Amino acid sequence: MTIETVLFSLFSSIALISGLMVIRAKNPIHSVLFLILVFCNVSGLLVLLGVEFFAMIFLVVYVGAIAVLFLFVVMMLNIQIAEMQENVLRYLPVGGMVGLIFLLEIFLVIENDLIPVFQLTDSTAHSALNFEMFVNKIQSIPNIEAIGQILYTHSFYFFILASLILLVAMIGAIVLTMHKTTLVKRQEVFKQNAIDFAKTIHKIRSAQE
Amino acid sequence: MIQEVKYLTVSMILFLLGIWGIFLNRKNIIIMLMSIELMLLAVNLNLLVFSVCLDDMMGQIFALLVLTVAAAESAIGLAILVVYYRIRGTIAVEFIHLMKG
Amino acid sequence: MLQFAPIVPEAILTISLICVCFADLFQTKKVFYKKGWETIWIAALGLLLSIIALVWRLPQPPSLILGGAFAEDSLGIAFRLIIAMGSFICIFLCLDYFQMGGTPAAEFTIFVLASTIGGMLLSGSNDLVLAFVAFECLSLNSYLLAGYTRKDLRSQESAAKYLILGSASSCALAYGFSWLYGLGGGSTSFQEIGFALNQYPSVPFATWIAFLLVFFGIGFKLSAAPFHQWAPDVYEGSPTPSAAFLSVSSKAAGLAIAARLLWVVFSSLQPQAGQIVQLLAILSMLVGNLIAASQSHMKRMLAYSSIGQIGYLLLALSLEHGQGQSSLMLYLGTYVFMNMGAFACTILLSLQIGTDSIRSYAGLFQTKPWICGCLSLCLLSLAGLPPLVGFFGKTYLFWAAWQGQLYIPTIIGVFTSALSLYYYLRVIRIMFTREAKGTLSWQQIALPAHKEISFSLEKKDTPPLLTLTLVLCASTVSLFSFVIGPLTSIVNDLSFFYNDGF
Repeated sequence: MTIETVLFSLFSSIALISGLMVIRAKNPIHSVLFLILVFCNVSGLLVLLGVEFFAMIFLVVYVGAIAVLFLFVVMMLNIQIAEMQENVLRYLPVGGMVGLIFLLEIFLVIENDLIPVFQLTDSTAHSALNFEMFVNKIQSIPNIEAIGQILYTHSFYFFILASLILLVAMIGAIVLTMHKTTLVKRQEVFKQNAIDFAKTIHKIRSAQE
Repeated sequence: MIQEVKYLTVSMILFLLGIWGIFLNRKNIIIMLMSIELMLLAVNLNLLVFSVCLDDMMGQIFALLVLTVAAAESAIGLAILVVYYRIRGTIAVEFIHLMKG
Repeated sequence: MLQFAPIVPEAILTISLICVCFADLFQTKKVFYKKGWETIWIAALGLLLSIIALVWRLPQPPSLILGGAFAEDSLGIAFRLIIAMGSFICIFLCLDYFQMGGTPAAEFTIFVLASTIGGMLLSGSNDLVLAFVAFECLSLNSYLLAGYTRKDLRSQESAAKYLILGSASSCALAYGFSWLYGLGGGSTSFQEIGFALNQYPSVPFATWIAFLLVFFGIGFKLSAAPFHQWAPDVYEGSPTPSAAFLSVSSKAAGLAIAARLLWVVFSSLQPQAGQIVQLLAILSMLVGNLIAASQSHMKRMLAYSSIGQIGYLLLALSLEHGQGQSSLMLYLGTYVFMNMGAFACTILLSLQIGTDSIRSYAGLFQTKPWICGCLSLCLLSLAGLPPLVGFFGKTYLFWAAWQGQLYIPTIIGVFTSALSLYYYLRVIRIMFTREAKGTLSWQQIALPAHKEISFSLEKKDTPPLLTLTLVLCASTVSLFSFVIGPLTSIVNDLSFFYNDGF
């Protein structure tokens, strides 16, 4: 039992249990808080893996942006606590069977199929997969620098396309949620600036007369 | 190297939890959106594990883009949810039955 | 030296998207209902330039650009052309529809342009990362298109449904991609993954899992039969131009990526993978055509009919290399005009009589003979009647499937397309023979949220752009059959797929 194994067991078990609680919690706010716990623990796992940049990015984006957005919407919508009226046992036979079969298959896959893949990776003599051993090249470069060099030079078009997605998502969210009713009073800057005050006063005075 | 395989198991179980949350959970839409976030998290973890195991940086770029898409998706999803709630007054799944064939 | 010429069409669309944003920002907002003319023309101009650029790129030799992420080959260009044409027609459909509804059309064109960019990049993508990002660009904008009329409860409900199911399926796709990334030994290029998968002594079980996950995601986008439940609800609820876009451009992009994955990446699974796609095709043909016969709502009927059509297209997809491709392209190219024409007629009729129910079309031939004639042409072409262009597409497709020794799926296809004649003819019979009696008028049907629609209905009778589009589609459907011979030979020439890069 090395310290890494202990930490792995800790992080992964907390992540999985709170992942279960996300979908089983009665109160949506509890669900969001458990979601945050999942994200924190997964970023712990990522630190163990050695991708520090992504651990930090997970904390910033998932917890700082997405989960807070969820929390905000849950608070705003004022959802009452859902009653557990649905019968768990009704889905349990079919769902449980499917899940169990899937899980068994997954373990089978990992046991039989992936280990050869990784061993192929180890043996450089195997010529079927020609990939670079990046470890030899980027020993001195930290994770974030390597990502930056690839993202901004080699695959900048992904970056541009992602920015396009974010732009359109922003426009879409604004278009969908913006109210344009007559009830809402809005500030109209041009109109207010264009008002000639002399005339306004004159008008009111003439109306009173 | 084999050590990293157990990370894949974790991500797989997270993905299954996400599927469970969408298809077997009938409470409200916001839980379903959270399940989708859970699934995308599993995808990300899977990509990062493969990227570390196979010594290839493209997996990490892929994970970064999945992260971006997850953010955009949750923004659009929550916007649609807010508009729906504004009209309908509820987001419970059992009330989504306006159209049936 | 990077070569950027192959992505010039997408670049043009991106620039026109930005121009649309600025034009919307700077235009005068005096009359709310009249908004959108400038943006429509900018978007249409961008799409037209993009189509011209694609035609210019068509005779070029295939090449890989962007570090191998984007493949330019003639089949990919043909798919991109079809997507761009579908969006071009869809842009013209939207203006009158949204003007009558009191919703600005400018943002709609932004979403259509962005999803067109996504779809075009998707059909040229040769890399897992680009495929995923382009797929998401297409899907996210499709959700926004489905929920565009924000005051309409049905539109919002369909958008919510589409968003949840669509995101779940694209998560499955992404998970499948991550497995492919691992199984391919840390490579994201399609050729390298296909090569690596072929190197295994026996097909690993994990490849099958990746295949099923990926085709779950794509089958959902195509609304092929086991994954079709969302389609009728979304088509019924969403605004009709969005439904037209979803049924043509988004499906063409899904077919393009399915073809590339099936033929390049999963070539090691080939006989069985093709059989699974044939199974999907048979199920789609049966389910779509059988359920469409019992529909009373025009958009639902078109949704089920498009499920049936995707069955024919998947049948062509599952064929071996050379035979399937050209019949797929020919049928898809004709399908764009038939389906867009049918949707244009649906929009025109719904703007004039205020409802999409088939029963309310009764006796419309007396009052609106031209629209009804065009709708009949498009529907008969979808059914595949001889003088129209749909007949040639379908015949070529079934002939290719018969050559490929898919006897049972071909027989089922012929049988179901004969069956489809029944429900298309039902609509035509109602329009031509029945007297208009006892139908509810639009004042009674219109929901409270549609007050503005019913208000502006009285003023306008023949929207010019819609009529133009309708004439374009109907004339294409009826006149293209005269040039079907040259068209077939052109399509036969361009069946080339970039596969020998490794």
